[in-house]
Amino acid sequence: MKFIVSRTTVSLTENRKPCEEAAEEELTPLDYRTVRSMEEAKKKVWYKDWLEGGVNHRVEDGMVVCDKKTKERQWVVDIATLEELLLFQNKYSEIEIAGSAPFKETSREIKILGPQRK
Amino acid sequence: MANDVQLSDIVKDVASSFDSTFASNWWSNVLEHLSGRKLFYVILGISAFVVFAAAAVGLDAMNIGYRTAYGVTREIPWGVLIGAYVFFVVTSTGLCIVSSIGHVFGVQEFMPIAKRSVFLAIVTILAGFTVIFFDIENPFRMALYNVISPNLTSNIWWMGTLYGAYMFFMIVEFILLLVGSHKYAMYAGLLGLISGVSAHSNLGGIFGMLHARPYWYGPFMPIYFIASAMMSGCAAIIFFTYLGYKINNEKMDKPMERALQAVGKLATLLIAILMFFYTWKIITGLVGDPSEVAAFKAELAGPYAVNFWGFEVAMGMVIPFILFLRSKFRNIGMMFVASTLMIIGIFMMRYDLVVVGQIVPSFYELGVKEYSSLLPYHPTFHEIMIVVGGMGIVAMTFLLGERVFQGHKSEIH
Repeated sequence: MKFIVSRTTVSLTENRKPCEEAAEEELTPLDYRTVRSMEEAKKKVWYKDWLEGGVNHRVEDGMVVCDKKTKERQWVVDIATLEELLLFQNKYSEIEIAGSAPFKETSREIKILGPQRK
Repeated sequence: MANDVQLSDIVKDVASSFDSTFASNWWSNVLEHLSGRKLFYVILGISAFVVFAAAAVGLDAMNIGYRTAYGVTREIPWGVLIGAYVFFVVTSTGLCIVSSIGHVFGVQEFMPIAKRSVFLAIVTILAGFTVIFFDIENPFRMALYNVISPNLTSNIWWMGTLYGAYMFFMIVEFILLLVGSHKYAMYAGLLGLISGVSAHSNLGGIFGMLHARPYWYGPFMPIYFIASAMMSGCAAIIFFTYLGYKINNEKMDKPMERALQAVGKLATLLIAILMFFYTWKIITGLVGDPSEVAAFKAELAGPYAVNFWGFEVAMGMVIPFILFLRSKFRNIGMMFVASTLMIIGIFMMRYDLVVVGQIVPSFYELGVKEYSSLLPYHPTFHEIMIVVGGMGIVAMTFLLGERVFQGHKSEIH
């Protein structure tokens, strides 16, 4: 399973790898809008931009959603088993698993809470 | 037993049913319609009309003369326009400071709020400049002499210069954020932050360095201005982010939820700090000079008591503080209500700060017969319209910003 991986502070001057295992990948953001149907969406002020900015428009979990055309680069780790997760936690001491911004590939994030050594 | 029902139980019940009240349903319907195509443009049009009408009224005030158009006098030269100017620039600086925690200092939790906050910081400072434009008799001369004849010992010269630099850096930062140049945006943000904090504490200094006005005088003002700016910034971030998501019908993702939770916690801490500041300011003020005591009495139990207790204390601090705690920083709707109340209360804080500092005559302590009572001040139609125009500018540009920048998405992760 893919997890976005991040630190509590990020460097804005360089794109620093948050951990050894991280690989940078292009992910597809999902654009959810809180309306129940496409008909309702058509009446909204954002509809045209939403339609043109994405593909595969559909209704999911009572909301309309699409895959955005513009991909986002994110640091990602692939963790398949609970053992691997525990090893990861052991290595970085304190981690937190949280929801991330929704992507087609994942909506989970591992935050490494300890300081990063250069 | 029915007789054993306690008042606290009733309060608990009312509070727990808060989410399902008629008011919240009504409000969600309003927001639902706001994102509709027609109504969005109707509200945008109304905001534009308000700005246009305010500009017309402001120009009329220039034409007939401020002495006639405004409620200010020789004794009370700073009225609601200065109060509104302070309100807008305080909000702008607060937006800059709070958002800089993320995009300047790299705290990831605060990152999602960056773009919208920087945009709103520019919008609110522009609204502030517009309001003060109509307060200065000859604003063009001010801009000219600021450059060709600077008075380095004047706080007001520093205010104009530093806020000018602040606005420039914020605009540069926003453009750099838009083009995705985060490294340089961070440098511009840092310069914006430094100039903003300098400008804003200097604005506090304008009040704090006036010996003749004991209500303001002292080192408290610059510190208070920065702390209250951060509080305003937190309220504005929660308020506008919530509205932005409703307008775009976007599902709030987890990072944004966490960002708003962090901002809510910071707001709660700042409210507590402000309450502490207020308490000691009042206690020390009540043992000050007779004119300072008179000003505080006017605020606590005189003609400004409703403003103070109702708006500043209850709406600006106490109720939002309770709502934030009660929301457990998870109920974003409740945090939005708290921030709305804060914004209203904070506006009145700025108004009272400016006006109450002047209502006690300068010769009060000398016992001059003509100046033995508090001076009156009432904002006129012209003044109120210009303030409403400033709010119209914020509303209009906020709506346009949501439309043009499509929810101010941040790509920094």
